[in-house]
This record gives sequence, C-alpha cells and structure tokens, in this order.
Amino acid sequence: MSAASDAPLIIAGEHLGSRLITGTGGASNHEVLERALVASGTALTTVAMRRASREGHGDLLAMLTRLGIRVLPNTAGCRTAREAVLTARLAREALGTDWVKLEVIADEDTLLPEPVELLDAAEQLVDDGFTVLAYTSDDPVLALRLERTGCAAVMPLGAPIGTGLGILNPHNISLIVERASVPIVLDAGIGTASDAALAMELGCDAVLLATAVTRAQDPELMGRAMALAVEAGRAALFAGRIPERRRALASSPMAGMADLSPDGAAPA
Amino acid sequence: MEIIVNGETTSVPGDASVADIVQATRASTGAPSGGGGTAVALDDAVVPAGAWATTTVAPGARVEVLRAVAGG
Repeated sequence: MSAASDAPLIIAGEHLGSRLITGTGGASNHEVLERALVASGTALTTVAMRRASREGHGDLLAMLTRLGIRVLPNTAGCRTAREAVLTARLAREALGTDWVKLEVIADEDTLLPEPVELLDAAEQLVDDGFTVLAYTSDDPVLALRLERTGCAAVMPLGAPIGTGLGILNPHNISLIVERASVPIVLDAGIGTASDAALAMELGCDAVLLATAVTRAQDPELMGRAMALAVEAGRAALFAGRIPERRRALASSPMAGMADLSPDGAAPA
Repeated sequence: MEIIVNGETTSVPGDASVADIVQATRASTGAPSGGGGTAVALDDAVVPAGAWATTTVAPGARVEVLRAVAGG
C-alpha cells in the first residue's frame, strides 16, 4: 500500500489508530458491546451524558479505559445551542476531555441537524477551547462554514441516524471532501459494510457508526466487517479505480485464438 | 427544604451541599460513591467537582446529576 493510504487519522493533532469510530449506543449489554468494539478495532468511541439512574450501571468508562479506547462525549438529544454548550461543558467536567461530538437536532422524527443552532453552538464551543467534531447534514455550504468556525472535524451524515439507508447523496459527500481541509468523518446512516467502504472511496477520512454494528444480529462479526470495509475503501481510493465504461472491454487477448468452429459444424 | 434533583422534587437539609446531593443520588441509584464520570449542573451552570463540597443550594434549586452512558 502507498504511504498515503497507510497514513494515520489525525484530528486536532492527535493520532488515532483506526479510521473507524464505533459508538457505544444501541448494544443489548456491555459484554456484547465490548466484543463489538474490539472486533471493530476502534480507537475512539462516543458516550452520552444522562441522569444517573438505576439501570445500566455497568462500568462503561472502566471498560473503555481497560480497552484503551478514547472517549468522545456527544451532545445527543440537544435541540438548542444553549443545551448543547452546557452538555459539552458537563461532559468536559465529568470525563476530563475537551473533545466533543457536537450534535444539535431539529426534531425527534428525523433527528436531522438544526443548522442555525449547530453553527451557534460550534462557535461558542470553539471559543471556549473545545475540540469540536461537528455532526452535520450533507450540505457542502454548512460543512465549510463549520470548518471556518474552527471545528476540528466535520461529520456529515450519509442518511438520518439509525436508518441504515447508507449514503443518500454521494455527490454532496464528494463535494464536502474536495473542499475540506479538516478531516471529514461520514457519520450516521451506515447500514452495512459496503456503505462504509463507499464513504472511504468517496474520500472521507473516517467513518463513525454505532447502530449498524451494535444492532446487527452478530455485532462482533459486523464490527469486524466494518473494520475491513473501511480499510478496503481507503485502499481502493488510493489504488485508483478504473474509469466506468458503457461497453465491455475484454481482459483476455483476442490475438492467438484457436480456429474452432463456434457452432460445432465442420469447417466448409 | 425542597429542591429538584434530576427532575424530581426532593427534600434535603437546609445546609445541603452539592456534594451531599451527589452522594445521595449515587446511593439511591446504586452507583459507585467515588471516581469520576459524574458532572453536576446547578440551575444550568456547571459546578466543578472541586467545588461540590463548598457549594450550597437554595430552596427550589434545580440540580442535574449526570454521568456518561452508552450512546451515539
């Protein structure tokens, strides 16, 4: 492989050991989650900040520390810049990281990003010293605005969160990648391995997913599949694919063909 | 006095600190009493862990005790 395809993912000056970011959401229990995370080879994973409750007190942070996986808190569920900024500050206090996956959604039905609140929150958090990885729509204009605001990575969706519809607008993702000078992480919408490979073939620097692995019938196997897909897609990008053609092009030479009768009749 | 902890009206002594509230919340949810991973908002402002013991709450205060859970 070329040096470029081998290059590590670098976000805000930090080297990450994998181009697949596997979130922790959606697994049936922590044992399943642990096997899936390990199989995916991820070096960074998302967590959410929620009220302390009786349920789910498995020691998630201890597990992630043991596995050597860096924590990326998110602002999932926040609908306004105000909520998202406060949530990011609480996460920084609880987890000791100034990295945040900034997520400001418009409504529960689509979970699509709310662009005005998102940009406002990004500005406030960058000013406050956060390393902001911004979850956004696949709008190339907004992606560039987020980069210029100072986001360390821009993370356009392939399709709405949890839908598994893949990459609905590959053209927009390509355009975002071409114009970016920060890492572009395809975030949300991935359903299966070919979606992750396509994201990398389009030039994305990484893929972030959760549901596609944690809610697969075999999360561990799907974690492995996604790791391979991200690696394969990146290698294919650097390998330089052949151009698409409308007509067939034989790969076996025509020269030197034996003189055989095509229909079995004796030569005249 | 009554305050609101994680959305529920709760009675606490008049001199309760944020540290007392965190301890009570951890006890009632079976969470470990020490360690990191917990953050507190008092009336929509972050209270750093180092200030929990010295920060008292007023009647009617809204306290959110949060921790990291699987998500995203």
